[in-house]
Amino acid sequence: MFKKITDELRVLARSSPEDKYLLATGLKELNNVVAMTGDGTNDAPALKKADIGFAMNIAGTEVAKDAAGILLLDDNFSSIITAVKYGRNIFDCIRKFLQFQLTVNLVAIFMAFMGAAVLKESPLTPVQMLWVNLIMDTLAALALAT
Amino acid sequence: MPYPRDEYIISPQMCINIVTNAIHQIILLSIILFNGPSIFGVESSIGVTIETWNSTNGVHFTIFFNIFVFLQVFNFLNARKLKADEINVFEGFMDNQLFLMIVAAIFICQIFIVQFGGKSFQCVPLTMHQHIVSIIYGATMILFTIVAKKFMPDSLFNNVEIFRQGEVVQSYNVDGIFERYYRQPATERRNSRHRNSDRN
Repeated sequence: MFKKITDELRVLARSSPEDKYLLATGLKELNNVVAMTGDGTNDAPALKKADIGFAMNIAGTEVAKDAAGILLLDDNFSSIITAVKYGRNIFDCIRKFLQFQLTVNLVAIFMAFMGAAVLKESPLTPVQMLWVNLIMDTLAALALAT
Repeated sequence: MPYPRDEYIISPQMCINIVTNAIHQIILLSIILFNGPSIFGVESSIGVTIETWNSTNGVHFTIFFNIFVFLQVFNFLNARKLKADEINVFEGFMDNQLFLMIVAAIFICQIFIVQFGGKSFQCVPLTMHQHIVSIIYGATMILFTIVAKKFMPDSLFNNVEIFRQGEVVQSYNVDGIFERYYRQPATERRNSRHRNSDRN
């Protein structure tokens, strides 16, 4: 029944705290990522249940602010979009950096290990290794996280 | 698409990318390390110490170092696109000025280090031809990633747990309603069931 409604549901008027809580729970059951926004005390259970709760800073009650994960300082709904954009951007940047960093580390460690095991010397000298480290830490972070 | 709260920061596709790229680099560098002298027609640097190092027996490891750095430079480009369906790593390449500047700076610095590094970097100035060959070896990185993303079958990776990916299931359920949801791999579902039972 919930599945039938949820696809077409756009606006839910005069909803009680239980309705809001049910909506957040049901959407999470269907493997959705749920963000909830609210300002009153009656929104608190839904804010807590959702993956992330946005509470209003100026109009919101203390209970709602405590239950939420993020406070909208300017009480503006369009700030939610900004928050989502920043969040996804940072997550993607960290992933890019990690992928690069782990690949370089795997290869560098393996080559140094094989050099030590087979040739009894490392093919890369320490000074060269420092330059590679500069590339993979500082410059990679600068380049991939902007 | 939003990311769930409990999503791993290293996704299964990233694991595949990391392992395939690392294996490619290791194989290529091993070939340079052991067969480099015959490929490039230079003297082998294996067994050369800092005292016996000179400008003829240092060429081999200089090429090795050069190829290693150029592999990482082209791996930079690979790291911009992580998903399996993002084949073209150059999409939106010109939008990020800082990225272009940094990659160009690494290129120039690397060539300067090799040409003028001297004894401190243990680098011998290379010829134009050797530089170009090094860059071409580095550029195989991009080609290889395209091959790995496009042509390697998923069944190859699905046997290993960290590579196993969830799939989007589309079906009509018992009530005749169209459903589309993300089905997690079996182990992940087992773990989540375990987590839920802990909570209760």
